[in-house]
Amino acid sequence: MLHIGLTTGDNMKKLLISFMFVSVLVGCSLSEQHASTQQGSNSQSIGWLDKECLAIRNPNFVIGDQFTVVDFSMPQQQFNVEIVSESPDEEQCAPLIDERKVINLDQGFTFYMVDGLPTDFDSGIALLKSDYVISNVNGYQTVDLNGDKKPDFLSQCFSSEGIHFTVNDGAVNGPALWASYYYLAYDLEANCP
Amino acid sequence: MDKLSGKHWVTWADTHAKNSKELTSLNESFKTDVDAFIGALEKAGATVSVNATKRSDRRAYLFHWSWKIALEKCKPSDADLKVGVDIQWDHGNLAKSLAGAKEMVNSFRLAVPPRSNVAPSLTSNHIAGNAVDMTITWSGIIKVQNKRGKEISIPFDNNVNTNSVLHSVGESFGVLKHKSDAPHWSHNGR
Repeated sequence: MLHIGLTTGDNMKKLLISFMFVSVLVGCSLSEQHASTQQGSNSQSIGWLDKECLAIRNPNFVIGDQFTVVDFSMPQQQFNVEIVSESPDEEQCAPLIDERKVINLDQGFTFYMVDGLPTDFDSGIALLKSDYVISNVNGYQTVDLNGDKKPDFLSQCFSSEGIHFTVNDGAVNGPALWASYYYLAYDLEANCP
Repeated sequence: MDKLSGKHWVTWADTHAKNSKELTSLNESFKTDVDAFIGALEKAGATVSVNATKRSDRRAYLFHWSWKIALEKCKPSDADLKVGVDIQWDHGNLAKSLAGAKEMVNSFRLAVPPRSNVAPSLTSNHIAGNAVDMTITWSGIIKVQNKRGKEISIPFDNNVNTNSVLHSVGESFGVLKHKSDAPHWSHNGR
């Protein structure tokens, strides 16, 4: 595309035009990625867990795919897990119990069962191991989600009927770069800001 | 039936403290508003699926106190009494009281994240019969008549929480969107 090695005037013009074209393409691609991330839709390699049940907007994972899971204890812990089964039922997977199932499926999640979590694990965020490097910053497990070389923080809060999982830009309470919602189908004493 | 807390109370709740998905279980004035809003949406071509309406206060009571006792946020003897729910939270032995409450938390599938102080609530618009959880879907743009009879064009938005035009139409009928829980609408937006 860049025609490296061309030296004539015409070819230099072609080179310039090609470079500008590529620049525009890259610019569009980045802004689209940023926009979709802000909306939480660019999430095909990030999901959340209730116990060992992984919810993620990607139907293409298979048994053996590996994730890093971050919990919300303090200090936060990370666990290496892998998918051990697909299409779990509601006995295995609490987001699929009768009163929660329709709303959670309606959000486009695919559900998988994972292995590798401690027995007292409750909930957390899962990041595809091959896509993300996790770093510990003052007890928080962080990831550089938007590529700005600054740590982004993982958190959860409760609204009136569910859990909001977020990856926050640059600070624990920073703007959400990625967000996902788990409908619990019961009323809670909410604590989301 | 054994009064002591434990898993058998989940079975009891599934018979005697059930939540409803029926619009007829809502408070009459809110039901009228919701019926009109859903009717206008369906007339315009939207598909509406109701997931929850009135929730049982007895079920909420069992959620709340089993969670608080199991997570040791209170003593078993601190639990309030509830008419119609003849449960005994205090087994006279702390370990057994905790075990009974934990059985219920696990069987109800309640969330118990570390460091959480967020208990299941004893009160809510659902429990009062003034809230509905529903999904509303359509393709492209629909033209919905609001309560004043004005036709409003509403583009579909995957994120219902940000579809302010849809919210305004709901508001004209007295059905207000909760801004952070996707399926939740109520008489006051909470």
